[in-house]
Amino acid sequence: MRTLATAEQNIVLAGNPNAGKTLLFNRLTGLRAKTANYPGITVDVRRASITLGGKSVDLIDLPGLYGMEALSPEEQVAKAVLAGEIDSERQPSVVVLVLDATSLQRNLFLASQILELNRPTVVALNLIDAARASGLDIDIDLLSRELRCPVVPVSAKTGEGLDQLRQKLEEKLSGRLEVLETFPSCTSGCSGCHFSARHDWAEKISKNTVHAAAARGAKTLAIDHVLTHAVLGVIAFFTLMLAVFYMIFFFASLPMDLVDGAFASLSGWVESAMPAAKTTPTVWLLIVFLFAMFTFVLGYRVAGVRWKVLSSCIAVAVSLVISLLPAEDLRSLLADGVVAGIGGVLIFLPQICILFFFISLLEDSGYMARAAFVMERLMRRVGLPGKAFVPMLSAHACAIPGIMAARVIENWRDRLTTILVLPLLTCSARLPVYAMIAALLFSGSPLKAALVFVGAYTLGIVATLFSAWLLKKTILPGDAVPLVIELPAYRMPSLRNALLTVLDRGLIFVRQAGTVILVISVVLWALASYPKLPESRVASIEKKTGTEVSTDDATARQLAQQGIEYSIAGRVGRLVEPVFAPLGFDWQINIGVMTSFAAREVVVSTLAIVYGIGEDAAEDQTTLIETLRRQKRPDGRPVFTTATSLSFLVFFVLAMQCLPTQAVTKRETGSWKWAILQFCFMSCLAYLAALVTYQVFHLAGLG
Amino acid sequence: MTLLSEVLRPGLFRVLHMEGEGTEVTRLKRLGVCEKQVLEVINTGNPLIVCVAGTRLGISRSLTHCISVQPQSSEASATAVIPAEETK
Repeated sequence: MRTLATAEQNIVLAGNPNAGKTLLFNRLTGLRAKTANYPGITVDVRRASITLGGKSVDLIDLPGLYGMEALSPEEQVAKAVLAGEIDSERQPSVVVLVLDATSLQRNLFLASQILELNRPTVVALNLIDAARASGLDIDIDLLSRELRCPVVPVSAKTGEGLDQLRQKLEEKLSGRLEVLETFPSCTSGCSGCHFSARHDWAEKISKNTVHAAAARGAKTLAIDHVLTHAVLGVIAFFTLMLAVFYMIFFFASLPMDLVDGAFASLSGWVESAMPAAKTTPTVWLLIVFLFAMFTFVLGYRVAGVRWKVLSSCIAVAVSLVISLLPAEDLRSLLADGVVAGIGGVLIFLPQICILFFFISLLEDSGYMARAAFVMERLMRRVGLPGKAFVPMLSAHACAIPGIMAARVIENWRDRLTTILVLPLLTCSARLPVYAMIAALLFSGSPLKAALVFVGAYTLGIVATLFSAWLLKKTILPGDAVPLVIELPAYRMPSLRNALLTVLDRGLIFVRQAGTVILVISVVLWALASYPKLPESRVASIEKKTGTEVSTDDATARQLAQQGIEYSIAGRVGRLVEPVFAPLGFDWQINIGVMTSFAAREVVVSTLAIVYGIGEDAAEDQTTLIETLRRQKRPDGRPVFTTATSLSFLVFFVLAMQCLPTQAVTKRETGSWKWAILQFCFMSCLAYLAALVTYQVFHLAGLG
Repeated sequence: MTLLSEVLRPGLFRVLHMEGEGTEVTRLKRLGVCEKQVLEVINTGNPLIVCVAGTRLGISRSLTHCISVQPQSSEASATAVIPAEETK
């Protein structure tokens, strides 16, 4: 975990959600922001060092909050930082109170609470350009006198007023500004509703300082007539989402191919560049050891792991083991474990970036609030809030950004329910499995093959909604928290902000791929590679085929097939055969299930290996499908019957076979307990559903 | 006096009383739906849309059962704000 304390002085940005705080932060910091967590809390807080008046200061972008009552984990963090509760020695030096000039009255409620903290404060009156455009004229000097602190009109979008804001901050930090009298509480002596007193104060200030042209907001009202309509709103929502997903898949196609190609080339380069044997063992050992240690240094730095006794011992021991590996094993580790493992996950980075780009644009425009509004009625029927639709949409590309997007849900129980059920939705990684099964069952009928896809997607959605309902009836009881949502005025979204959001989210994903996913990939590689086939068996295969491994592909494929059978993963596949037999799986399919726990799409290449056609041939679907169709059980029945194929499909639709998602669940929920529960629940659900599928189709004579 | 959940037509209303003290009531209060404030009901669907404190809010109908309101004329709303002194 990073802490926030680095520079001596710090400036915190606080304000309502949608006040343009993050855009202002991005303007002030450029690309220097880092995302950090407070210990024990899974709330990202962005911070960066900036130079003001020749001094380095920390600028901290707090999560948005509506009041100091702290009703969500994000608001708790913001309140704790503002009140100096997280670190008593690191009180905010200056608070930049970001107010939305287009909605000053509502923003002043929070302002009344923050000003009462009596910290050095500068008000950044953001969106001043939008306010002017909508006919608002704000008396800045009067507002400054009323709030008893400097007020700087700014536009984070255009950069207007930022120099003035920097100057005011410099003056505050150097203590040159006039010390104003203590801000009096607008609720002091009030015996009635404190909220009402603050709103009255806010309205009074707003009326005195803001002069509005008539017929303001007519455009928003007209658009809302359509977008929040009970029927038209839902149609508009699904049309927009369809367009977004079409663009995600359309634009991501090329970069995904490029990532795939780049990692395939890297893997090939590693295989060809690595020496076949250790010519000078001592030099080899030293170089490999240092390289492995360098990887640990890098990984620990990225993951924020400290060099303590245990972590140091692990790094040294693992580096030593790696340096002692035979040359061939090291080559396989780098090419098949590290490069292929990371590449298999990073291939989804383009989709994730494009998804967050559109989400950011839609959020900025004000549409997301309307989407939550129209989805509220539908989602509440299964116990989820309307806001859960954003993560659910994201999860159709990849569960990881979906889980990260669940932060839009303020209520912890609703957020947790959403996180736990999200991986049931069909992500891109399942598509190779769906394609394989569709081709296995209906290769001659595109319509029926398409129905397999539709059925699998539908099953995922139904399972998600059912699971949410079940969780709400059992371990997370209670209805979804009723919707209370601000419907902000429509605005032109900021392209710059969208790109910075993409960069921020993309880096979080890459960091995850570079640490947790790397470890998982290496562990699974080891399970599928060791123990190695005894020399006697290698010699026996070579003798049988009459060629050497290096000169014949068929021999190499046979060795790979027998090698994976002999490995721990292969043995586990045989061991669990009685467990998966009622689902129609044989021990070879079980190996596919075992090796695909890191990433489910791995099952296709694993099946290609265990059925003896080689990993490279997995991309040639015709060869793979024909080979799978030819497979027989010991009693002569085909393995991939309709019953087994559908059971296999149902299992992969519902099973939690994505350890990176588990790592993100742990990160977002703050506990492995929920990640384990998610894994157990989805595995049991997948097993039961596949069992029913196989048995029903088997009894119907299709198995 | 009527409940906000029973309002069938758009119009101006003053909040007279709010039942309960839970998180959702607090959420409403800090957004401006609290005693003595005037709100404009814009859309009476579910969720309904109200305009309060210069902002439009979407609120689930289930939450509006706890809000007692009184219809206001447009003229009354112009002087609807009770001076701070009166709340003391």
